[in-house]
Amino acid sequence: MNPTLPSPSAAGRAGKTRRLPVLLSLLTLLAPLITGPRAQAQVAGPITVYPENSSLELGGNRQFSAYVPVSPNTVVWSVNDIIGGHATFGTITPNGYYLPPAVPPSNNVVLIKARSTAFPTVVGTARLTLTRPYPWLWSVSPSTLVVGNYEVSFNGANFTTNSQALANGVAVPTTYVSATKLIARGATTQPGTNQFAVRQPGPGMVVGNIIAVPVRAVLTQVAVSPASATVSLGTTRTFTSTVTGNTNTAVTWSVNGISGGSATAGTISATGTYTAPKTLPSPATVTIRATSVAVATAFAQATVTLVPPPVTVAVAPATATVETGTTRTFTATVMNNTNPAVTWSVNGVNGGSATVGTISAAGVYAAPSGLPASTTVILRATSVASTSAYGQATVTLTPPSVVVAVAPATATVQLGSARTFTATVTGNANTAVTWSVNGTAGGSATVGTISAAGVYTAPAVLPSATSVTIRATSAVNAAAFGQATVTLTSVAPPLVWLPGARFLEQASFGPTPATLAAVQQKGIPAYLQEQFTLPATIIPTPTNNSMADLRAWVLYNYTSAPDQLRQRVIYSLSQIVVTSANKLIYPDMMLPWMRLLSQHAFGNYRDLLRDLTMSPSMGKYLDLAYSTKPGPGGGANENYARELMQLFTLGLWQLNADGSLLLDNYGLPMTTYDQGTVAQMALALTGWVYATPPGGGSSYEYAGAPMVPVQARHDTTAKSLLGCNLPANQTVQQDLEGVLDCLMSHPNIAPFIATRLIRSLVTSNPSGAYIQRVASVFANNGSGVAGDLKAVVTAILLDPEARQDIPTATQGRLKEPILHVSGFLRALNGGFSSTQKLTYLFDYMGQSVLNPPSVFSWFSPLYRVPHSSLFGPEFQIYSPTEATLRGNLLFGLLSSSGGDTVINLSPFQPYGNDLPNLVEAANQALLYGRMPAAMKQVLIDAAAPGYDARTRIETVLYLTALSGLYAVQY
Amino acid sequence: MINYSISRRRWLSGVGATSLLTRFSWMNAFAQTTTPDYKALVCVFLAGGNDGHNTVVPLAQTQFNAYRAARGGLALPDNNGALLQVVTPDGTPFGLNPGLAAIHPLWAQGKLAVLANAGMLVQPVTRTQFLANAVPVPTNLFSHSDQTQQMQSGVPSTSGGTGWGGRAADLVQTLNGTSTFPTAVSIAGPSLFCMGNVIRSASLFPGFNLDMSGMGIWPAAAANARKTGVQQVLQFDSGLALVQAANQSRRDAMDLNALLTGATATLTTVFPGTSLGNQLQQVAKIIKLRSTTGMSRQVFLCSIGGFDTHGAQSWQQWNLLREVSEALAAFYNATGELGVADRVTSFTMSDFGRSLQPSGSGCDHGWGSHHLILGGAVQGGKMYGTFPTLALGGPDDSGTRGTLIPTTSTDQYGATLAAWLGVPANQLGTVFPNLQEFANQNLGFLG
Repeated sequence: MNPTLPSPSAAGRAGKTRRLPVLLSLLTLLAPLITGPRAQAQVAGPITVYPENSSLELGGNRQFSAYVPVSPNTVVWSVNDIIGGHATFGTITPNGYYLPPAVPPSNNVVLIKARSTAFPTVVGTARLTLTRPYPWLWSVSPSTLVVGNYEVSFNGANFTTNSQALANGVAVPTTYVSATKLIARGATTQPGTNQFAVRQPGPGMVVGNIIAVPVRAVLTQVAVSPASATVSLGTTRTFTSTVTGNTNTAVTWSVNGISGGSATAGTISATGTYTAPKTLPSPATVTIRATSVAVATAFAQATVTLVPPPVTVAVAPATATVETGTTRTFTATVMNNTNPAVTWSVNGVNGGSATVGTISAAGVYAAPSGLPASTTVILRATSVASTSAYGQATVTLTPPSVVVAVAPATATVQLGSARTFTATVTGNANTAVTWSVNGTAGGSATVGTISAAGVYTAPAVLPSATSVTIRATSAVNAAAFGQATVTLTSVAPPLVWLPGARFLEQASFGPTPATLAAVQQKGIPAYLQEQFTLPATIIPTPTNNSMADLRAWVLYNYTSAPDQLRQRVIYSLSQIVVTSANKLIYPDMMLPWMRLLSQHAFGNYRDLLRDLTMSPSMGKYLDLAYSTKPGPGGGANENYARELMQLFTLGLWQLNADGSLLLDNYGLPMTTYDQGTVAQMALALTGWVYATPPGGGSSYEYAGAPMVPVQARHDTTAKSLLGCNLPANQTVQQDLEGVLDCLMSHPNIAPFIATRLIRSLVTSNPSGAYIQRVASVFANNGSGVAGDLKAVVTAILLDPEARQDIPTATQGRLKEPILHVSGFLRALNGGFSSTQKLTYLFDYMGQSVLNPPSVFSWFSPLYRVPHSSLFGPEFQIYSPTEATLRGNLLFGLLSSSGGDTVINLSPFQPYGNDLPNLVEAANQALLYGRMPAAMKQVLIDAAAPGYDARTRIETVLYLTALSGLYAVQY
Repeated sequence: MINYSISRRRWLSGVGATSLLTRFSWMNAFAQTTTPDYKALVCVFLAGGNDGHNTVVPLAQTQFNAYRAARGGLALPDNNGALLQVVTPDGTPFGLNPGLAAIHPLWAQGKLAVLANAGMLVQPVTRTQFLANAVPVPTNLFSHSDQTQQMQSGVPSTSGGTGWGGRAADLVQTLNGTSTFPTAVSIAGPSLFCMGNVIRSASLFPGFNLDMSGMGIWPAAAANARKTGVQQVLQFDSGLALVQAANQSRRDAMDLNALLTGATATLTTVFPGTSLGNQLQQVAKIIKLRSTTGMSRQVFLCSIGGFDTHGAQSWQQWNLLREVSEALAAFYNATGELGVADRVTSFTMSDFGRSLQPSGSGCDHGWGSHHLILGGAVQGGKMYGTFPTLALGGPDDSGTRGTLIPTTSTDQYGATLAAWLGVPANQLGTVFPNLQEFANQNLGFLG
């Protein structure tokens, strides 16, 4: 640093001292960098600290600055010679910024010193007087005082707990309330002025501003109560006086200035009791005065308005007894008024009411037709001139002397039937009556009708209130009647024939009212034979080759096709010999497969397998098309050969005739075939290609005709598979026939296909005996033919285990979405529309229509019920989401019929108000009479609060459909 | 052929064993010694066939030149931005598609790995073998429906009726005790991937609740009576096992709904409002409920479509990968928020890869492809498998257009994930029938 440079400017010293600390502090920081270890001393004048003499309120702050005429000009700040100060005296920063202590030190004058760092003997000192905050007094309340004791509230600022109130310079008892409020107490002895102020005690003591409050003397005062009154002529009223400010409380009373009053204006007693005159004076207002005996100038007054006497009304007779259905006349007399008019009321109701009786303007009271809850009623006549004036009569109502009795008093009548009631009249010679139902003479279609002879005919539909009231009323007295209560019951819904209903759950997409009737009428065997003879429903070719349309149609077909058994078998076969729209994305590629299933549903399984093998649908889906003998450029495709054995005919494990696993000597299951078998079969099935379209063109994936054999692509070596030998040099067709013969003769095919079809149609856990019975029919239909599907289906459906109407604990199968939903629609006499747009919902429910995810179809036949050893294939797609979506679709079908789907709730509508029979109708329609009694009560309770019949019907059907008893076909 | 026959047979035996367990009392085969902690696999399926060549690009000069030569106008970088460089531990540089910016930092953090050129295989196959039809290969290569099914079933033909996610879940489900919550959950609709032989799978849609219809009727008393009625109707002991089970399924659904809607499964992590973002958010919420659901092992499937980029690929793929990476990054953060970052592994699958050679502004169906694996347990910052030679007609090409033969099989990929989930080594063959055809059955990306 250049030592000549840093002297502060004159301007800084004169007026801009606040800038100085900044400069100083900067230099303080720079000094070690610039000056080196130690600057050379250069002595000059003393240090001056600004401001030199000042005072500071606690809570404030002050910036000190120092004029330092030495170089370097750095200083050290201290308070009372403590560098940086102290909590007791206040602190100061190296830049001279002072903060006072929280409370003033005992000596409230502190010394602020700036000491040169270069020359420690060079010091500047400033005196700083610390004061307590100034106690501002903004106002005193009350703002005037009366001689004597007072208590006032000080409102101001900067009060502390030791603030002291001063009255005329003298300390008075003080209570601290807050920093802005003090309470002061004291006393005055004479009128004048009180000067209030607040003192903050020392050290740093300060007295705030003064507020002067006037003090005035005590007065004698008189008050009269009430201050005004209205007094009727000739009546009395007592007034009271109160004297304050004087020990003598005696007063004298006067009226209109006359002590004791007068006959004209009324008189008043020494104790203040005023007696009004007999006649109205003019003016009609008088003044009453009470004058203090001690101070004659102290008095108080009351104003009395004199009024005429009140109007009164008298009613005669004052009491009476009146029989219901009869009349009685009452008179009213108005007094103290010239207007005699009155208005009549009964129990406070002008003109009365039907319940308590009516009364005319002339006072004729007509008693009600029946006794009200309280047999005493009040008649009132109210003066028209003065509505506060009335007179009353008390009437006691009594029953009529004519009595009508109806028999029977209670009855239960079924809808549509009739019942005769009789009326007996006593107490009068005239025994004629009129009949009504629920208050309507002759009744109505809703609640039932009744003839003049008392013959009641119940309505056709149950009314919302299932109990109606029949009344016979005397011709003599309308209040004389007898009643009967009729409970209406609907006709119980017809019972469903359980054996037929169970059969239809297995042999169709669920029973309908019509098929239930038909199977009951014809019997199961005859109905079954009829189903076999029905023509197959034609499968349409969708316009625009739209798979969406085809999927929509399939659901429609399931609920509407007359050949239900064929459709159900097609549906089962479609899950055994599978294709899927996920690969066959256009209907023209899928339709050949669908038509084959329809064609062979009641035919022979071997024929089905042959046609399937040649089907372009299967050729594409499982890659048999273009499967060529091994050699350059191609290889036998094993895909179809493998699934043909694993899924379409034999399964993986060797089976006994009852479907159980055939075990080896070690008790282990044995495989049906090995990879060598697959390879041999694949070779045997080489040589199939798509047919050529009529008229030529590309044959690639042509679906209009079965695939055709190309001998040149066929492997002509000899094949050995499953114990069968196919000789060398056979044609494509010969090898196919050989494969089919081999499969059909394999001991597995009968129990394997029997088990698959039984699981799909009847029950997930059939007994071995059941499987064996059906398998034996598959192996031989009785005429030496194997694979006769009509015979197999017959055997499955007519088997005692299928027709077992009392279920075993493991009987039945969970309905998959298509059967659950289709069955529900059919049970409600409805179905899908052919163009419905709901198929996507089945995608969500795990049963994408025509579009299973793999050749294993939608669910595995080996899937087991969760946490159980029982088979339950359909449970694989009954996860929480799928179960919820299924239930929600069922509700959708119930609540929005008419577009995509239709249902008919008319069989339930007669029971909208008859919950037991409504529940019974649902029991018959969905559970075929098997609903447990406790569940019926649950449904009644669940439906009872429903807003209307429709809501109640929906509740009962919805909850029944959600129940496991409906979700499972058993 | 012989090898294939063994694998097929072994797998079929495995399936049979699973379904016959009770009869033969082989329950001890399922005994688990692992402590019941939590682990989940989250598959993000890139439907349509993601172009792996433009997902991960080699940046070493020779390979990059080969890449550019083969890809022509489709080569990156393009207008969508610079490639995001990553370096393997041996110093080899690669570039990620700029759409993957959101997960790019996870490579350096060691939480993101790439599996190179994986796909469906029956057994290892060379170009020479493939062209000579010398060894079996998956059926119907290059077909969406077949290859999607195969990737999800883990079976190199269309004969898989269950998914490998579901079968893996079958083998760890005992860890879930008596919980009725579905072990394998698809957030992308019913899926083959999640279907097992034993476990219960379910599909749950993002934001979708399992409320029952018709329960909000007026007046409230009627609604309450219906709700009470449903509960009671499902309680009757009919004495019929299947009826009881059906009632139990529906009660489970109601319990699950109460769980999903009643529990406050809220997350601090913000997810992108995309379809995949919503799906992964739903997964994170279900994971958050794990103590309530009682689940220790879970498998999830999410899906995003649009990767079948035959044309106009550049922006489209970038945009799709951006959605994928932003959703995955949020999901990874959410697993951190839930304290399970190292217990949840996300990975991509796709129908197949795409041809190296472009066709116009896109490219055609291929075979092997690169995949992303992400999570706290991932030994990330590495490239797994064998990066293929990018040359048309080159040693890895199955033909002339760069439809590359996978150098790692989906079996190896899935088995590594399944083993981490807890499937015992001796049962991995039940999940992946052809696994034993491959020498390396654990690729090591999960430690």
